[in-house]
Amino acid sequence: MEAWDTQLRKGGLELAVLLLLSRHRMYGLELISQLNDAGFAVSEGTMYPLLGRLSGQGIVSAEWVTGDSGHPRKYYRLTGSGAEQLGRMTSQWNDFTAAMGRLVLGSRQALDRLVTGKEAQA
Amino acid sequence: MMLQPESQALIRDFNRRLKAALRSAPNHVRVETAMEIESHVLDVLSRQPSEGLEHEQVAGILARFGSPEEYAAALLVQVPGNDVISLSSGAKEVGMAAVDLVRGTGRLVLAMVRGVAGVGLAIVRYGWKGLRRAAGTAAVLAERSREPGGKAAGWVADRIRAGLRGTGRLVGFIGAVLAQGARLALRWGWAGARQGRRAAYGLADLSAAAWRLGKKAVAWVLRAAGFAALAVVTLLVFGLAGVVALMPDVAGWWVYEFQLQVGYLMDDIRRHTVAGFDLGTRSQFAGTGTLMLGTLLAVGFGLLVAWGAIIWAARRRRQTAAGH
Repeated sequence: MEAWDTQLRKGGLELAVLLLLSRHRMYGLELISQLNDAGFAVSEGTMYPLLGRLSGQGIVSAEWVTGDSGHPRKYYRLTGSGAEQLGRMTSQWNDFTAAMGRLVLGSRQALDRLVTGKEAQA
Repeated sequence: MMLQPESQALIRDFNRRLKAALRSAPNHVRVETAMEIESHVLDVLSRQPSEGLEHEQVAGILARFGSPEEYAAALLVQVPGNDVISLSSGAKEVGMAAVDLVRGTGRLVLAMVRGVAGVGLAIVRYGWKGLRRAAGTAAVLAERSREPGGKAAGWVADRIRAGLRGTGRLVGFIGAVLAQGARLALRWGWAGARQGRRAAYGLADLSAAAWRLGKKAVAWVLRAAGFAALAVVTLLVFGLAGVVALMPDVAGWWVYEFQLQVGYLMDDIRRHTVAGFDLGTRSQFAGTGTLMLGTLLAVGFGLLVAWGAIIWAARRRRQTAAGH
């Protein structure tokens, strides 16, 4: 279950990051905090390599900014091709969740029976 | 905010190990990664109230990256220049560079062949015309040799000028073709040498990636191939220099042969002349041609010889007129 959960989060992480960056530019810790608040537990060892890959692919761009914090921060923003990518991913995500939703709905009665049967055995 | 010395030492140690683990990554990746980690640590510390010793907090933050080696491995998988990606893109780079090297070398050889073939074509086209003109002169002289000197000298002067104009055009054409061949050889040969250098660098990158993957035997083979590519480049550059140096000799040899043939014809002309009517043209051709070979530019030589012939003919006319 844990491995499946990890894979599920891994698959959705890139979409989650791009969705956040579509709002405004963010730096690494800001992205991690917002994802944690949204229920997406992600570590620094996962986030920064992902941002590095997205930068290399041209989906996000990065720039160092020295602002009020006093030390330089690397901000990431969505590029034009990144916005197109996000559009495609969102559309695919909607199709995927709609399909999974239909499956879950269609199997609800069977799931209820399974749960009820287990409770009766217990 | 200022970090305590112990905190700075922790980050420095982390970054030192991280950079060592990122050996195969481009330098800017190593530098930016270290800066990003430090920036992240400062961001976290600025958000949290200070609890306990700062360097203990810093250790906790750094632990969330994993060990430096684990973090480097995660980075290398994600960013360009990592083991897997660099092997495939490096192989592609080397393949493309090798194709360019072969293409550049092929074009160099083609340029040389075209240059030499162009010389041959020029000899055939313009040289034959020159030979035919010289043959015409011989026929005229044989006919005119029975008449008193003045008119014959005028005829000879006109014909020689025509023959020299043809020679000048021939030599000029040869020079232009050879210059074009040399230019093409330098241009494409140099491009081939540059691509060969790219191939050598690509092989070096592949070797480093293979070494990192533990494929030491493969790494050594790739390194040897890189040296071989550099050796080819070196030979190519020296070869180019040799080709350019030899071009004047090649041109000179072709022209020398031609002027020899002209000289033989003039011998025949002399045999048909009246005794005492010494053209002296054969020795003049031979001497001028020998002087020209290997040193003068083709076009300048043609003009120089033509000018000399005109002067000679005018003098001859004056001498003949004074004799009558």
